[in-house]
Amino acid sequence: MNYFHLPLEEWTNRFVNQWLIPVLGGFFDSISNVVGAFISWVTNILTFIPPELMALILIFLAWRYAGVGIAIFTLIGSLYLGSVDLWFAAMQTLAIVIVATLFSIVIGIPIGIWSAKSPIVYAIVRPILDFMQTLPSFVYLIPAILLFGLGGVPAVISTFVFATPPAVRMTTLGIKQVPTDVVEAARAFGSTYWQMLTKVQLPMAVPTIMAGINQTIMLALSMAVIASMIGAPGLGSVVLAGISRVNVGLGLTGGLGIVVLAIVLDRITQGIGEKTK
Amino acid sequence: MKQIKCLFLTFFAFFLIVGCGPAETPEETPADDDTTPAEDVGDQSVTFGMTPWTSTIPPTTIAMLILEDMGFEVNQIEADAGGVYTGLSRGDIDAFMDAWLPDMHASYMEQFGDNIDSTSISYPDGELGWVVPTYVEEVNSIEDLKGNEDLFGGEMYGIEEGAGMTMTSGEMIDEFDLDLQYVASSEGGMLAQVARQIGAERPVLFLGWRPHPMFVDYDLKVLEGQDDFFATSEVHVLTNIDFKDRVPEAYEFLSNWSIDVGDIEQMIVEIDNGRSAEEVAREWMENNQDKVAEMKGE
Repeated sequence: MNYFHLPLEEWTNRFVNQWLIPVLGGFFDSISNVVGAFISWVTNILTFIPPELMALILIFLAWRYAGVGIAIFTLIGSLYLGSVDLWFAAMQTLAIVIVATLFSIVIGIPIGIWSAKSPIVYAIVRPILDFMQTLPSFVYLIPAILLFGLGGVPAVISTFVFATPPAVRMTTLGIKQVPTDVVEAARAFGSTYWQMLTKVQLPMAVPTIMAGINQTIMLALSMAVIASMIGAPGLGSVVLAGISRVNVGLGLTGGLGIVVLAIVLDRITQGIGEKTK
Repeated sequence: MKQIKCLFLTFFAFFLIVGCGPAETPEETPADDDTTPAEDVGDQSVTFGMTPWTSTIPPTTIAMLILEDMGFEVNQIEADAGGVYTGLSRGDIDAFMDAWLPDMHASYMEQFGDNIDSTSISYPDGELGWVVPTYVEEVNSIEDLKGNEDLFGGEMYGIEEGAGMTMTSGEMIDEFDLDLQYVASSEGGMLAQVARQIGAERPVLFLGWRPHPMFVDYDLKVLEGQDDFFATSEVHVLTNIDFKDRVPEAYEFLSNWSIDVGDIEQMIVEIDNGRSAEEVAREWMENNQDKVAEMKGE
């Protein structure tokens, strides 16, 4: 199969080292500063709130959207995170998940709407989403450092790449699933493009979009350990510390923290999705 | 110290996996060299122990080629460090070119040292510790860091959370009361951050160890005053205790052995870039004919 030599390796290296970093380095630095400031702002808020109050807020949300069972689980989970001294780490992870999810939503949902409206956009976006979801994250993890520096920022960017596709896909699906008779009825009553979108299609798509956001959050959490390899603080780095020392106990302690966070976030966002049906 | 040792083993194992796939030294075939007339040495053979670390391959390959040129039959046995030391003590392996002493391989020497002869020092500067680029003129030692933390944005970059060097660095930060935050990531992560900072000529403080390609890629200095935390290793050539009497000429050569750590690093980079270890070793021998002659005792 070796009919000709494809110098992809050299091209990529030359592109990154001679153009991307020297020419756009400053641009990426400023993105890095903004995102970094945003992450530390969210982290500061989450860690400034006393753990007891934060736990109460989470328990309330769990009770309100997911029922008594999950509220009790949230109480136990919070006590667990406190008692193994991982509350602070959990809030650091939560901050990165929140920031990455926000980016995914802000960028993913409009693209999802656009793809639903335009077959051409959909044809372009779809392979890009496949690419984002299947390209192993290790491939862009280290290059993300070259552009954004070590720490929470490349973690958020990598998480964004990995976690955005479901937000886009589910938004597209949700809008496409709105029954045609409803759309035609709305059109018959003379609704404009924007009215159609904001008053008919989006409201009916909300449960599907929420399912997409739920998936985005779960994928973002699943990046926590990988992201700690590029300097993201939080539960992931606890797990990494455990496994690199073959300290099984420490690894499990941190890993269970991620599980607690995941279940609580999953049930709450799922509940919000159900309630909006 | 044990953790640092484990860490080092991990590094080198990692190098092997990522670094030298195609450059694995093939099993040596008997010499096809016709320039040096083979002396009549009978069935004398020399067996080298080869650990899968990138730092072992260049010196071992060179030593094997030179001994081959001298007319000896050379073999190599690939094994991990424990296997190499066991083989050395039993005599299955005659020589090992990459022994990290006194600290990192201390446990092996305790166990097998009685049957092992420390023949020469390959290079004395197996340094490790905190490093900065040479263009950071303000900082030459750990003491200089005090009050200069802002130069580095209050951060230093390291490898995995939980690694030996990470823990030692934490102790150093406490001991010298430095206002630094240790940002743990991974070797690749740390090096990417270093590439970014050095590319922009910004000061950067991070973990280094030799031999490592980073010393070829950048001008770096290992900070002074950290001996109590990161002890510099000497890389020794070891032989089996009976080797000296069995093959005296080969022992004589190995006892004259020495090589520059910078040369080792250069060769590691070349091998990483896909050249064969033998080709790289031959090139070194071409460029260092005086040194080779001296080691051969000519």
